Amino acid sequence: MATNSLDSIMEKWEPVIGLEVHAQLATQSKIFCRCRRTYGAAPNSHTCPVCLGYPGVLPVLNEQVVEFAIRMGQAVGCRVRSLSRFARKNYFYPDLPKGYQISQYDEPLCEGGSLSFYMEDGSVKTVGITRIHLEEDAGKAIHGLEDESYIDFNRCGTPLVEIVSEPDIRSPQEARRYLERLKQTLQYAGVSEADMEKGHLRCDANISVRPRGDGEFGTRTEMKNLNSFRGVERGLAYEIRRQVDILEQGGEVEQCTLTWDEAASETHLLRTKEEAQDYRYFPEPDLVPLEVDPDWVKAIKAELPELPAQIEERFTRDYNLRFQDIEILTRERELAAYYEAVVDGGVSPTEAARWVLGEVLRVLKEEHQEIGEFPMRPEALSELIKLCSQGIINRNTAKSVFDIMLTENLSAAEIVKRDQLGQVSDSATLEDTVLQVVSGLPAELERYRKGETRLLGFFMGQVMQATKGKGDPQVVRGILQRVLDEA
Amino acid sequence: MATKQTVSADEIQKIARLAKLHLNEEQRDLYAQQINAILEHVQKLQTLDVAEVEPLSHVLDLVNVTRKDKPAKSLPRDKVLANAPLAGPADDPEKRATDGEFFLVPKVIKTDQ
Ligand SMILES: [Zn+2]
Repeated sequence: MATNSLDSIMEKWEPVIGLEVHAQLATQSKIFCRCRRTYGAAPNSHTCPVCLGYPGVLPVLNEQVVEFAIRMGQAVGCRVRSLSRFARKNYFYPDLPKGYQISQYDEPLCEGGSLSFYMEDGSVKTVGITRIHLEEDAGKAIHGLEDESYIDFNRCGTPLVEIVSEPDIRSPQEARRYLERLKQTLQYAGVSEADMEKGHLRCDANISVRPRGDGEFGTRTEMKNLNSFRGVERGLAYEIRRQVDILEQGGEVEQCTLTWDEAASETHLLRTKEEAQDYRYFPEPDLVPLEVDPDWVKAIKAELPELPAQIEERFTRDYNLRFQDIEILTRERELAAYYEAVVDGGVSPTEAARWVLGEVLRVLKEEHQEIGEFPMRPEALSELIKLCSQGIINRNTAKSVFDIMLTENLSAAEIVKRDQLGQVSDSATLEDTVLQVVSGLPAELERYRKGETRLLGFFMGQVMQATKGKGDPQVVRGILQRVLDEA
Repeated sequence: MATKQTVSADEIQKIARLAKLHLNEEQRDLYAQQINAILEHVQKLQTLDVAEVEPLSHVLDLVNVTRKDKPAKSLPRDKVLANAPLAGPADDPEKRATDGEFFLVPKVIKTDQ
């Protein structure tokens, strides 16, 4: 394997990457039967004759699946076919009881859209979407240590959209950002939970390399099992190196299918060109064609929720935040909503962003929580921030109050009152403290008066300590300055 | 117009392999003959002028047979697993290939899909 850095490889070679992403749709029931769509349920507890593929049963299409797929299509600007059809993809595997998967082939539901996203340097990349089609998920095979595999059919018949991109992606980083944006769009559109850890989102890639400046595509390989953001980036980087290595040694890349092994950080060969699958697609006789009324598409489009690009634009316009901060705040719809609720509580957008990006995200990370599980209501956080910006408590005290609020069901004001944390800004009280502190430090006072004015900071520290951090720093500084300069 | 199209024994063998069917030589020749007869008939149909006929992908004149997204009860698991394939050891021919939770199959490493 080449030891050259990917950057130096990419100076000479250009990767050409297309992604195929499967996303589970957030329906209540499966796509062709009324079994509940579940995750983590007892094995084989959500199956029926339809999803188990018994002879003589008839699949009936779940209309919510069609609506979700159209909605996703509208979110990425696809055309919706007025007539689309289902097809059988035939292959044998123990997690597929019928011996075929119901999918769509030459007449997919949605075609021709695009997805735009920011790269880390702030540039915008647009990737074409070739098609979005409907299909059913297979069951799950767990491979035992002995010579048996364990099959759970609960997942069988879970509705999927397969989202196929154009080969517009030019680096592993772009692939990662595309996948992140796709996940974000699925979530904002409300069509999928898109949780990669739960397998809601699964990614395969087609990849080839060519000398920079070349118009022709190289021979491509297919890579499966790129099922985390990190895996996509690392798996593609690995395959780019492998292909460039072969080409630089005068060899030829062979068309094949590989699988990414995340734990071992390497690929395994699944099959060569000769062993390529022959799926013998044909129209699904058990399902009638799907005709989509253009008015329905229009209505779905009109009711589209706010999408990532729109919320980014709105945050930029209304809140005047840094691009990097907006990117983090809007990555998840729930976090963006939380942030907005904090602002709506009467807090400046900049202050709200500072607290959400700082303290809230810190706690979520430490506790491995989602924003939905965060115990502090946004209104409660607004109240705390207001106490701080009104000068009733200083920032350090506010951070301690924040931590207390996470464990105790009290408002910020109640905690400040109970623990007597209020900032002292009464000048008479503070003047007494200042005089006391200064008179206790005659040597330093003399040095100060002889011109060592940088001792002001030292005196500040002493006074703040004497007030147990509750003195209003601005008031303290004013009094101190006056007292020290009184010759 | 159509040149005569025929299916070779090799192609029959490939189709059989994809369908996980084991054919002996005699069956292979028989099916090749039968499939060729069907293809010949289709070729005859292809000489008809169908310029005015809409393509048909489904025999029923229906579209959009759908249902609402309302879950219903699934089958009880013991009923489901009762249909696991017979595992068939000589001393216990009625034994099913299940552990009470999963269907059991000979270990497979994914190469398909
Ligand atoms: Zn079912």
